[in-house]
Amino acid sequence: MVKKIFLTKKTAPYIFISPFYILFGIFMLYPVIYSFFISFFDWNGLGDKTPVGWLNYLDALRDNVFLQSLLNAVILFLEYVPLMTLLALILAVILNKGVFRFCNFFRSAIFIPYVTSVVAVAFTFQLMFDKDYGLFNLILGSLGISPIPWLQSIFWARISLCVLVVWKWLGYNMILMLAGLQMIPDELYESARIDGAGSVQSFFRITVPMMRPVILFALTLSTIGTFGLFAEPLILTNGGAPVNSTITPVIHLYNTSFRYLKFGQGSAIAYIYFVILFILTNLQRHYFGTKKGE
Amino acid sequence: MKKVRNLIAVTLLVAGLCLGSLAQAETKKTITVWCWDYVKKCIELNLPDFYGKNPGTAVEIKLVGTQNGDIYNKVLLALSAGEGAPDVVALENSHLAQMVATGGLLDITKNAKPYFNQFNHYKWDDAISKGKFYAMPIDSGPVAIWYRRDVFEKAGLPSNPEEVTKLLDTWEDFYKTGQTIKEKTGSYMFQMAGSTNDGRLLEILLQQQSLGYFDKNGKVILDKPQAAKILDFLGKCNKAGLCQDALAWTDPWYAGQRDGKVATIIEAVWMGGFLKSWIAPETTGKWGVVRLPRWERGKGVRASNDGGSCFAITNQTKNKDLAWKFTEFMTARVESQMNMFKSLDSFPSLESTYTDPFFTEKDPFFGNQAYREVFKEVAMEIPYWSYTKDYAEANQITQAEIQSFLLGKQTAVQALKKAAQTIREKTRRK
Repeated sequence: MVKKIFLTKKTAPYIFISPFYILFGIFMLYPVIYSFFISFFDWNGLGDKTPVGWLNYLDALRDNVFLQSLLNAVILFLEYVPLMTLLALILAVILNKGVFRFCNFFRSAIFIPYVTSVVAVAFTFQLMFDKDYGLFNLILGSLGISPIPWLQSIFWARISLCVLVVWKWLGYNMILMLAGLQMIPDELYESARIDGAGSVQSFFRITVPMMRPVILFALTLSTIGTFGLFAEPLILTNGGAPVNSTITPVIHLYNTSFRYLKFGQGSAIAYIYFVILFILTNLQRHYFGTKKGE
Repeated sequence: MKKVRNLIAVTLLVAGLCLGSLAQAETKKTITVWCWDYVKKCIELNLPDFYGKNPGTAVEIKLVGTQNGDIYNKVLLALSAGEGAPDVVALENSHLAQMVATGGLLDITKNAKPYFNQFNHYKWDDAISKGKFYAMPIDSGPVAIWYRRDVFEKAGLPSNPEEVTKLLDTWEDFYKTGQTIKEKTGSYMFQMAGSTNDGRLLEILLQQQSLGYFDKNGKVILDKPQAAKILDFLGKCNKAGLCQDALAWTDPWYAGQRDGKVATIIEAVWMGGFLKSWIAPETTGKWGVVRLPRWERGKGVRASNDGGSCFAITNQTKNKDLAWKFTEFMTARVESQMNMFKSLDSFPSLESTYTDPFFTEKDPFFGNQAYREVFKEVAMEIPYWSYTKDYAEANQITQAEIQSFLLGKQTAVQALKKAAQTIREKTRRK
């Protein structure tokens, strides 16, 4: 009886999709809009809101730490993303369906880091990177190489973070590439072989161009992921040491809002960060995306 | 019909259970307390006595950690949600001013003010805002030098506290002693992280001279010349190779203390308990304690502080009287504080405990020295320090500048000037 009133042919679709949209509205849309509202105030989360106009945005753009965090994200991106994406693609080609016998084992082995707890992994890597007692320097020592200040120098701290991130995300990117490879028709490779192309040539002339959408997807995810790195640098380098060399925009955002209790400032940072990422991902699409009619 | 009957039966059963637990809750007056593990243990030592004096009450303790500011986030969330906050919450002194500024703590002036003179004076600085009291001090963290007798002996130096005090009379003496120890034994003088410095050691030394991030009026004073002299001194020690580059609370830090790789530790009283119980229990008999060196011979205070906590009551409490009774019982009662001190090394902020003979007991772990006496003297002289609600940000900003200084990228004066300027901009102060 009740059913017939609400669930008609016309309303049924809306009713079925409404749970998602209601939850989305409450937990995602509302905070996003409210955050924009707060960015024009000074607010400690509990007390009164003091209106400050655009001051929070101006402060954010003049903030050394925020600018440093953006620079760090770019540096980190250049240090590991191209290498990781290329490596993921090569591994995917090598471990593709039945190229050699144990490829399933290797695929799983490379993918497992993705499902590990980031906190546990970051702590473990921190121990391994230790200058005096860590595993890496012990190995280097036995090879006669002097210890590297993995987490004590600006340059090496970034490298260490990249090592951790690549270890964790290589498998994920490889799976993406594997999925993309399945869509390339075998005939292309066969005809290339008949025409006398070597494997390296077919890799660069067939695989890479055909994989463009997948590579673009992986690059976009990596861009957003690099700027949004949070747990890894927070634990590995105690949130940015030395000298804020590994601080990321999200860590700075978290500090501003939740440790310093400056929610207005934090919201302004969040929106500037959103605009930057929006521009970056669109630039990527413009340069790497397939244009219509190609 | 069967379906309906079963449904009614289940509903009645559930309702009955709910009413039952409700009735139970109403017969006992309950308060909830949020705190971290160490404070929970402290409270539990005194709960039987509390229940004895307050029959028919119950205290529910909920464990919330301090890592990543967990407890402060949770309290803030509950306060802004309008419900779910505890009656009483334990707060580290470094975060007290921030919580007071949110307006979520109960004004306990009427009850707390009479106790003003019975606690270490410096504990009240952040607990009082605009003349109103918002917290009761639990423990203090008086700082002294923990030194390894065996390392000093190996370097051919005296190792009993009276002579070591003379040996480490000024910080310049400390530096020279460090050089001797490095030469003769290869051990570092103390531990200080270079590129991962967290600023705490500088803060301890600043407080010793009544300097700091902010003064009594909230003005930024980090760039005062004397502050740069302190940072320069730390840099000098670092350059001379007197510091083990280890970050506090990491494995290399513990190892340095255990293996005698460092001759001294500049830390608060609670370090003793940790050394004894889990960091280096096998080094019993090898430690001694002396007060901090001064900056000028014959002038200055040999005291500073690191850490310490307090209890505060939130605005959401429905049992103001019981919450206060609990707070008062745990903090202002001599027996409660002594229980916590004796079993858990929680150094009382309550000065009326200082006449207890426990302070003069000789401890074999520290070479039969009555080491608690030293800390008692220190506690009564701890200089003023105001964390303010901006401490977290000031500390974070300064950390980066100190790290840059210790990496040799700027001078001490430049480092503190930059830090002070940034703090002024970000916290909108003078």
